Amino acid sequence: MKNLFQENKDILFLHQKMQPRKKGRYSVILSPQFYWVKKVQLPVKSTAQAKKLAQSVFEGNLPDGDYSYEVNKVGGEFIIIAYDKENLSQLINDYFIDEAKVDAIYFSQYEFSDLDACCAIDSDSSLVNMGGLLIQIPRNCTDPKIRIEDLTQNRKLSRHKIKLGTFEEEAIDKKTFIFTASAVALIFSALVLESIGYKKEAAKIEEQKSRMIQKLDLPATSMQLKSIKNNLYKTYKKQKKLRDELYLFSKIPLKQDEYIRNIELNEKGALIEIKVKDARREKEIRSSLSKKYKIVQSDLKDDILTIKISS
Amino acid sequence: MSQKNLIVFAVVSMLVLLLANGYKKSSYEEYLQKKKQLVTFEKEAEEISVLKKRFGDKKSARRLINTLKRVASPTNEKSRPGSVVYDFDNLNNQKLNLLLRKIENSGIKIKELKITRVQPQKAKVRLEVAK
Repeated sequence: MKNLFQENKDILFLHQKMQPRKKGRYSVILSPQFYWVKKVQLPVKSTAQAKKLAQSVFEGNLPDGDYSYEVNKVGGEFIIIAYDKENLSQLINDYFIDEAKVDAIYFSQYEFSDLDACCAIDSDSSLVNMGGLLIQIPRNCTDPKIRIEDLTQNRKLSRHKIKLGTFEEEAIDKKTFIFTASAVALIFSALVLESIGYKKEAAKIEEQKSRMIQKLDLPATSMQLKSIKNNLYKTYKKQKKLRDELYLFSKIPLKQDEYIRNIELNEKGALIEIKVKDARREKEIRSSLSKKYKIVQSDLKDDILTIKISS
Repeated sequence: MSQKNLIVFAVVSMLVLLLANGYKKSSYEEYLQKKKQLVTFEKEAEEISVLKKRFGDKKSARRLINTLKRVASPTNEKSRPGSVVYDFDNLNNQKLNLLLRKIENSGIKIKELKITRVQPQKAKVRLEVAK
């Protein structure tokens, strides 16, 4: 992510006689002038263990200050660098002013560990490799074959950079970032998993529906289903009405010597012929039927009452 | 991590989480909709199944006609396009009541039903049933 959003930066060798920079972004390689280095053999195996002993290695050799240590194992020995963060911070502030910015700080000890010739830093000093330790010496003692610019040009920097909060404009530390990123990843995973769960459930419902369609021999589309339902309901209503009419006719209260002569039921309507005792009965029977059905015709002829009801 | 990268990280994270949340929401809504549809479908399917059993099952209709025939054997059976007409003559009170009750409670599709009193204790029934 960093590479995507960061501007191009130059690699710069920082030494005491360098002119302050006012513009640009830099990866700074510190001259040995700005840190202390020792190559020692220690009764430990790992660099982490050696780092714990670093302070005692420099004991009594360093000026007053709050020192941090960088340890690197080379062969069977450890190269230990001691630096004062506060001093370095001040140094960077002195040499990089106005719009100049520093992205990272490196040690020449690690960056030029492959140096096998004397290298000119400026007109007064050189950088040399003395038994694996890089040191800055006066130039009049040496005959430099290369210049420091040749070394820094297109150099691939190591991972041994130091963090001096203010220089790199650190907004959060690595641990907090990892924790936050993990939380984001966790929430994202939970949301995705939940979504997958819902999708699976939806698919199960579809399967259930398909099984039901197959089992009950139903059409697949809801349109067809609705059409079938409507047809069946229509039939149901018609048939229920026919049966209701038959039931109603069978419940007509008849007096002695009265009887039903004829009943006709179909989808259009119903007709009933009743032998009644007298004309007054027509009203009674009509009123009992009209509670539920619409009477469209009613005749009384020769004691036969004919009533027609509509569907 | 620089402030700029942190802002980019925060924005990207927010976007990713918003997208994931949107996806989850749409999946949930889809699930709810399907569930609702299934409930409606189950209800409709059940209703249709019952109605089909009552009015759409030809085997069941034939069985019912056979039951009617056992109550009173038809004197005439005439097939028409889309229907069959059964004439039941000379039915006494008991047979008439039994036959009518069976017709009333059955699921056969009645097209027309005629009940005529022939004599004081005799009646005839004409039943037209849809095929």
